[in-house]
Amino acid sequence: MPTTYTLIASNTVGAGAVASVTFSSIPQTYTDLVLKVSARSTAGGAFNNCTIAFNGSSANYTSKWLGIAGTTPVSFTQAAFGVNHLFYIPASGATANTFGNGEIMFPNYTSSNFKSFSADGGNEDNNTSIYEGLTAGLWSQTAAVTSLTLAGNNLAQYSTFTLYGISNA
Amino acid sequence: MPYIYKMSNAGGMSTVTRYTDMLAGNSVFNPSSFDSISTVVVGAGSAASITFSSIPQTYKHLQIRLFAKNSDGNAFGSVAMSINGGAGEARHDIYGTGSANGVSGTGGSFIVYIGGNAQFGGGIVDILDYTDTNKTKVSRGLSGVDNNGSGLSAFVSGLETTQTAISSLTFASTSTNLSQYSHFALYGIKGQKMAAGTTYEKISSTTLGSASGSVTFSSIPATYTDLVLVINATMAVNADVTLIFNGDTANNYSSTYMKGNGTSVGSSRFSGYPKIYLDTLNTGTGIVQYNVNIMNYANSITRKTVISKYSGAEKGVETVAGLWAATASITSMTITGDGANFTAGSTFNLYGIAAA
Repeated sequence: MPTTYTLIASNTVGAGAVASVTFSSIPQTYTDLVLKVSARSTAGGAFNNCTIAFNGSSANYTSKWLGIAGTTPVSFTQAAFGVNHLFYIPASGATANTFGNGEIMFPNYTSSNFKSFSADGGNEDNNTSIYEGLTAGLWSQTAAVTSLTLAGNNLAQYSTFTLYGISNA
Repeated sequence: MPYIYKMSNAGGMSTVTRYTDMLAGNSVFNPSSFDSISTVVVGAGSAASITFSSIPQTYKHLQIRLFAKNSDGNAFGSVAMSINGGAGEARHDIYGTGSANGVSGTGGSFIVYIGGNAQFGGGIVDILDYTDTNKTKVSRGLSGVDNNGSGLSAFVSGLETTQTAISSLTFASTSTNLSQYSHFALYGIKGQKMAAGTTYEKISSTTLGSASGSVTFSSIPATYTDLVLVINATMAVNADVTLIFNGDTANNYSSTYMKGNGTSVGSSRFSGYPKIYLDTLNTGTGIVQYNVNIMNYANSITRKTVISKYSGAEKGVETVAGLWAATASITSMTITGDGANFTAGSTFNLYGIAAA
């Protein structure tokens, strides 16, 4: 029986931090993609956006977010973030050595329809105030997803990104 | 290079095919990355806690899937998760109770919401990079319970500042003992190619060739622990998407929701209904997805719990804790667009997850 849940690629940020991480030449042989993210930003402050681009483009992206903003339940549209927000990750002002825990699922990433995706995660911190939540996203393009680029205003060393393929074959 | 020859029975071993690689015409074998590690089921007499010990250090991430309740008589209960015997430093929740929504932030252990009375709640918890000694341990989980008149749906995260690799996890009831039949399953997710497992498997798949008002999966095998239904669909008009089991259309379903539409946060409930609503935001005309977990679906002792998440950029986000008030094993499910058709190209994929 063909395997259902398969590792495609894994990326760990080395010393010196990086602006972004890209999975390119994504095989087109799966049904859905699952991307697990354990990441931290080197930017100042307690948290920063983790963002995404499809096939090298940050255009044609819309989303809605449900989550905790500080100590309050809120719901935002993507316009409130100003970037292709997935979830928040801890930044340099957060509890030391603490990385955000997030996951994104991209169903039917090779189809000729627009691409929906679902994400959840946040900047868990030893603090009463955090930003965590769930995102409903849409990439309004019919092209198959062949690459994914994750950024976080400089991703810290030890940040990891693990991409899996799920097959319905 | 040397050739590889394959002889076949057809033609009385006289058929010989020549290949230039060791696959000899076979497909490339990709080992599964999702493995069952261990399972604990609470027996008769209940238990204050359960523990996974000596957790193998060979995976990259852990997932814990649980189906549990205690007996404190409340609308919901909880279990506190301890990493390597530690107490945890911080936890943050966003939740909806059907009549209210809220946020909590506190010190102490990460928790998973479970049943507190008659019904079993469900939870899916992810811990990434659990062996990485450069990182503190952060947990993330979706959980909830519905009691047909009360309940809770929640998204929780937690922090334990230990950087030691996780070798044990303990889930302890925060009030009365965990009830018999409470089920905790630990899975490992690989970060490199390793020997195969068959834990996460496709059961069935439907892609609509033309518009249809419903999709049914029947003859669902009873050989897994949980079912995962992934829907990626569009509709021509706004409509809710609903779910029934085993053809039951009586008022045996209920659900508790937490939702955000980009402007406001809310929570609501349906009780004594003829179906589980997988979203109450209306699907909209954009493409949307549902990730539906049906926990411990094959047992014939407990009622059935659904933990689901709806994501639609046009309409918003919604988490659902649902209940089918029947003890029968689930052998079929029907997904319906309530008063509207799913358009051609909509996909419905059903997977089974088998605990050890």
